[in-house]
Amino acid sequence: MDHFEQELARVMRDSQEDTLYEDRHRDRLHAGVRARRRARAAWTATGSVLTVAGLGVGLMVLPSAFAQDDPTGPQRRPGTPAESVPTPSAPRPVPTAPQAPMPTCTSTTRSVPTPYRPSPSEPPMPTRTSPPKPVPTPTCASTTGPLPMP
Amino acid sequence: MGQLRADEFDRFVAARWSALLHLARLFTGGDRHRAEDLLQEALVKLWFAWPKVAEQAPEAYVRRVLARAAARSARRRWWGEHPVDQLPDPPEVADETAAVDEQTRLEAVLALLPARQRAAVVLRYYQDLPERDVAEVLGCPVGTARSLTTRGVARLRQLLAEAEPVE
Repeated sequence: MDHFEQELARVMRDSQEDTLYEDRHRDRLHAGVRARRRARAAWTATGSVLTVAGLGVGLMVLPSAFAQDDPTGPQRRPGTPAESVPTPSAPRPVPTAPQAPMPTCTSTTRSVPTPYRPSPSEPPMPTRTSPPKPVPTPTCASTTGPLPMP
Repeated sequence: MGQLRADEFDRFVAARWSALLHLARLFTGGDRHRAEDLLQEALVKLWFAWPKVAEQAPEAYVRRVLARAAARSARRRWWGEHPVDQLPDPPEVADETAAVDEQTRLEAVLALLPARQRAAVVLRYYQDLPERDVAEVLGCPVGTARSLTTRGVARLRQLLAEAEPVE
């Protein structure tokens, strides 16, 4: 800091006057605080009103917009074949006991206790002398209960 | 609670009024009325921030608000400054004391600086803040604060050399 800068700092400090904080200063300051408080309250109220109005308009407009765009039924995804549209399936059993093995859907070869009944549309089975072989049927094996009968 | 807050606030303002008004006056280049307006604006902001800054550094908060408001107000049309080639007429030496003459001359040359340069010079030499704090108060990088201070001092040196030396 050279001489000029030192003199500059000194003059700035020496030029300070003792000014009293008078009543008129206090009154003016308090009036400013009150005015600012009123302005802030007005801003808050305006913001609340605008928010409520915006929500109301949104709630009125959005349902009608959704109603116009509402599809009549489930639509296939583009590029998905019609056969792959998922169909509702039976609910799987929910294990209730903890640590119980999860039921798994496996394609196993099991002997079905019900006799085979050919449907009328299928060709008749050839007659055999040997006992009927087990029919592989996809079953849902569960360790907690019997097999669901079709 | 509110009365306690108001009492603490009033005590702080009463204790620091003179120093803060002088700071505001330097920021405005000697305009007393404008300085009172600036200080009033800063103290109203301090009132609403009082619960947060009362225990920390309320004076630093006011200083920051004052400096930024002074720099901002210079860009308003109604507070526009018009740099001139010639300094305003100095007061008659015979009518004023040396101190008042010195103060008036200082305020006259300070008023010729751009607002941000003036704020940087006041913060650096009157408040004796390091450059990093000047930058923090003005909300600018340290290099910018250093540049503002250097240019401001150089301009003051030139203006005072054209008129009279500070001393």
